[in-house]
Amino acid sequence: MKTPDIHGPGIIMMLVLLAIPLALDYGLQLKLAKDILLSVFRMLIQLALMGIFLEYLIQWDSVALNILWFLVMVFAASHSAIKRNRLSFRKFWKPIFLAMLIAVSFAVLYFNAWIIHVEKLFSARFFVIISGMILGNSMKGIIIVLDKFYTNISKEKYQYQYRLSLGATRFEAMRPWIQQSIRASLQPIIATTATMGLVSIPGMMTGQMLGGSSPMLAIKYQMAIVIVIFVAMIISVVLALFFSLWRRDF
Amino acid sequence: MALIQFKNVTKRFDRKVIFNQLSFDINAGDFVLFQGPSGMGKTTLFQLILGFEAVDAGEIHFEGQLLHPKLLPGLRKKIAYVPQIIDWGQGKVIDIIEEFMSFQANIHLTHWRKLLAELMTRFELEAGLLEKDFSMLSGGEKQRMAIIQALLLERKIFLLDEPTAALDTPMKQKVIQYFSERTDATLLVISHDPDWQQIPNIKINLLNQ
Repeated sequence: MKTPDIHGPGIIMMLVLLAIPLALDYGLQLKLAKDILLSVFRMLIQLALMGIFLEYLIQWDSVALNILWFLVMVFAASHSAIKRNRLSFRKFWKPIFLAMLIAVSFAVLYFNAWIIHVEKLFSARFFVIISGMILGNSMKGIIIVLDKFYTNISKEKYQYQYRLSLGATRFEAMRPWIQQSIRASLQPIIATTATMGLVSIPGMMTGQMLGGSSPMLAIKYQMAIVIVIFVAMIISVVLALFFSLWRRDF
Repeated sequence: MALIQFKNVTKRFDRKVIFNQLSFDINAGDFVLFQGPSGMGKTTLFQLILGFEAVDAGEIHFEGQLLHPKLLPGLRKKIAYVPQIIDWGQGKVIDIIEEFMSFQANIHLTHWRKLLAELMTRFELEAGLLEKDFSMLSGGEKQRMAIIQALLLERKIFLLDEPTAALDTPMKQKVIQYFSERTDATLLVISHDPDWQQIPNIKINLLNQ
């Protein structure tokens, strides 16, 4: 069973659908038309570019190129995490980049080598696609952990200093904020993991089933990817926080 | 050799000058009361000694050595500090104290539970208070717990920042009485309360005002 293609008329019908939000926007004076159009436009361009890239990556399937693309993705994700936190790029890009690089490469290679047993560990179909899925989640975790940690410890500076005055080492003094921020960064994924399969069909499964996989196979992949994503996320979060604290004075 | 020495220390926040060319010596065993108008930044004095703030000009020496980031962990282990703003975070009082006493620097203090009970009796705090959440304590209770915590560390240098501001007169007298008997210690007190002047031999430092 092959996935039916979306042809020209289908694409037009897809865009026509946007008339509904635009009509509602006009009727209710939501003043969202510009945002809606801009975000849809960005999405179309970005995905189109990604489609072209992936088309070629999968066609050529060069290990060096796949790794290069992987590094570009990790760098872009680090950039995004820093921008969202309004942190200094110069100070933070190395720890965040390194944290995601270690966590995501570990997770994707583990997945490829020991869970689905592909022969070519760096083949685009698995390496690039799976690492993309893992990366997005690790980035979300890093955004939360750094935001919570740096916001709260500077808000509660006197408490931190008091702990230092009691003789705490830097790590002992920071412990409450380290724990709080890591907990906060993992809570969303723990919550979504617990409800998975109750309401919605996860995106990856949907895709695989549309592509013709049996539900059982799609589900096994889904289970594996959820665990791999979670593990990569906790490693990224912990490493990013600790690397960012490396030799930083308070 | 002076224990703590300020040499022409200048400290500014933005453009506001807190200290201008401040100099003084504190010897081991001294009792010093720092006075000065409120809002002038007396708290900054202790922040400078503990290394939480850096000087803009001048030098601070501790035990004859110029204050340096590498020196700070060792220095902090010799000082018991009672801050003006007492924030211990969340949790039961006893759990917080247990954590403080579990820091590597304090792990050698094995008899603190007995001392804690004695000090709580001395400063009229009920044992049941230890089971309360820290945020539920009154200002006076927090202040006494902070003083007790400082004493549990069994250190010889005390930095007390407005330690009696939230206490009623009889309790204030008890605290002052306690410290006046600690002739083994060095005492630096920031307080605008004239009762601290009762301590014999206490030196008053007006911080160049």
